[in-house]
Amino acid sequence: MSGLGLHDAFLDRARHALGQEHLKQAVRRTTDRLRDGRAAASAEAGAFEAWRDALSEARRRAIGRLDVVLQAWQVRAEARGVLVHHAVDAREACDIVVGIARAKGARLAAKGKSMLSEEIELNQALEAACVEALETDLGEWIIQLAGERPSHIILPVVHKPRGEIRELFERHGGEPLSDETRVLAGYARERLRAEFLRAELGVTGCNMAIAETGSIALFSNEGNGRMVSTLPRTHVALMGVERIVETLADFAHLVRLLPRSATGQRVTTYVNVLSGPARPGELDGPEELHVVVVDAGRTAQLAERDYRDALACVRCGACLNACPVYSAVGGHAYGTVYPGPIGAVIEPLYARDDERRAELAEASSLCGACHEACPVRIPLHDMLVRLRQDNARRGRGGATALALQRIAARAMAVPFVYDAAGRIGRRAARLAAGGGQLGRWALGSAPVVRELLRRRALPDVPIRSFRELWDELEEER
Amino acid sequence: MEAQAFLARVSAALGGASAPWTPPDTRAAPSAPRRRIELLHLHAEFASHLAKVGGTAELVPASQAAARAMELLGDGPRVHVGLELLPACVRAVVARGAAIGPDSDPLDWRAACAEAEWGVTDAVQLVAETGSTLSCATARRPRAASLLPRRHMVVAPLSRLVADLDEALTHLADAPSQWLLVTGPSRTSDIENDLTIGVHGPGVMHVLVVDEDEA
Repeated sequence: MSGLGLHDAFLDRARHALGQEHLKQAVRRTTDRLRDGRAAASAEAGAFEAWRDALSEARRRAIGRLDVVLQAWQVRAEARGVLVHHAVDAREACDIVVGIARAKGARLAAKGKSMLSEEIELNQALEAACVEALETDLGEWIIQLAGERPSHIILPVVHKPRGEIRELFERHGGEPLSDETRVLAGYARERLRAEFLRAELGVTGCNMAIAETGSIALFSNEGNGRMVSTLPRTHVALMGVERIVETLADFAHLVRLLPRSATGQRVTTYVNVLSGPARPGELDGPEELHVVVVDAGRTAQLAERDYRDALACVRCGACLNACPVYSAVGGHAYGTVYPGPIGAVIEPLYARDDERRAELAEASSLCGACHEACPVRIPLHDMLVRLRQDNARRGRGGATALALQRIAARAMAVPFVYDAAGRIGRRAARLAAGGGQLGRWALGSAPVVRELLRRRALPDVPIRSFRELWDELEEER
Repeated sequence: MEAQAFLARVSAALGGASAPWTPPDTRAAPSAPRRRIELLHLHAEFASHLAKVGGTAELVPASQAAARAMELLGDGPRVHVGLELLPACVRAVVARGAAIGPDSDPLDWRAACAEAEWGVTDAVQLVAETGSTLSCATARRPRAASLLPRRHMVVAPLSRLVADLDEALTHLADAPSQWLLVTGPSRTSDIENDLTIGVHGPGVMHVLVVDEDEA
């Protein structure tokens, strides 16, 4: 750990990302498009703010009595034939899914897009058990062929230019293709269609469960989520323990807000709600529907009152698109499954990882754009400040930074000292910025300052302070 | 982990077990049928929202529905839901030739759907707010008819239009094994934000709204 308490991992990855011109432009173009879409959708819909209020309330209500809501959901789901499993951590969740795959003699598991499956690293667990795990969301499939991780919650492949995608497909199929989107998507349709029909197991996430009817809901645009939950004989859905609303009326608000917040769509192409496997007489649909309810650090977060609200997240990605840091560096710089502001808050809490807590809490400008974009009004920027406070309290801030902060706190408490320190500081900074090599050398030789300059650009330093200017204005009046 | 132990962990994290949960009473009282003029307004709204996402809807008088369906469906392979679910005026047209439905014998349903040019289904409701069709899986209404064929046609009477999602969802408290909102053709923007239609599901979605009361 360095003197100022910032880890180098995020900074290094961020610097690396900033050096890649294509990545920068692609991420910026995508976040701009999604943000504009959301803005248009919220302006067009008269009741947008009222829906946000309603969904925020519904999510917090369900989480505030999660135990009984989960139980109510389970009773109803089981009554309709759902096989419900519970997993405390990632390993148990993987074991359960692998166990089902083995029991069914499955060789191929076709997967819908699921961030939870990324989180628990299910693909690796299935492959280890000799079950092929195939991603079928177009973006996720590309990521899988490239051997990478998603860089955005809803658009996993924003960082990849079409030329690279064509090369991946050509290597996969052994025949030349063109760069046209239609051709590339057509190749995926043809190749994956055969796999949907062959897979014995379908694996999906769960955007939200509905307690009232014991259901799980899947939102998608491509239709692959419908394929893997309709065609294989066994369907396994992974559900984060917090992903539940109480009623169909609550769910209606999610149908309105999740697509709008994510892409600006009024509704996704498919909203698919499942209550049990196919019933007697039905010609298709799975014979068995398993739902694995996964904790993996979420109840620990539930117990932390300061951060409980983050469990209300509906995984729309709006905070990523609104975030100036994410827009600049993209998802991979975070080094987490969930990038962006929401990732910086939930991931260290899920993982009980203090190092990451320290690192990612700094990866924010605290501008609050994430809070404004959030459909359930999670105060992400407040939580990031609190995480920084926790870091300082745990001594995770680094000794030098802590000492500097203590001195600053003392100085700010006494106006006379604050004034004097300001005067000296401004002189020194100007010397460093405009004083030529000598000045920079003189200042840069101080270890603390060297540390600072390595991480941050020095701002332009005004000649007079705000307080001095204020005094002058007072006199002019 | 056992369910009870798992839920006990959740209770502990909440600071103690919560009071028992009571289900809400969301079942709506049956409402009076809408007047024709209201339904026509709702259809206009429905069609306009569906058009924005690349789907199409048209209102046809019952007397012309068969001719229009024939024109659209052509002679290609076709699958359909139980005929009794469709408006009477189009049944013969949908069933003609080599069409395959739940009553066909012998029946390889999945293969038939995968080869079909058109899948013809009904809709429980048409939701004006979003331009969505709502369907519920049953023995007579298998799921793959709207999933595997290259094109999807929905045929439903004008009277199935409802204003919004709240109204549509009140009909689902009895939870069929699957209910589904479909709004337009399958799409993706995964490749460089470039929108493509028809990636996994049908690339065409057409809704034939049949006006049975037309004088």
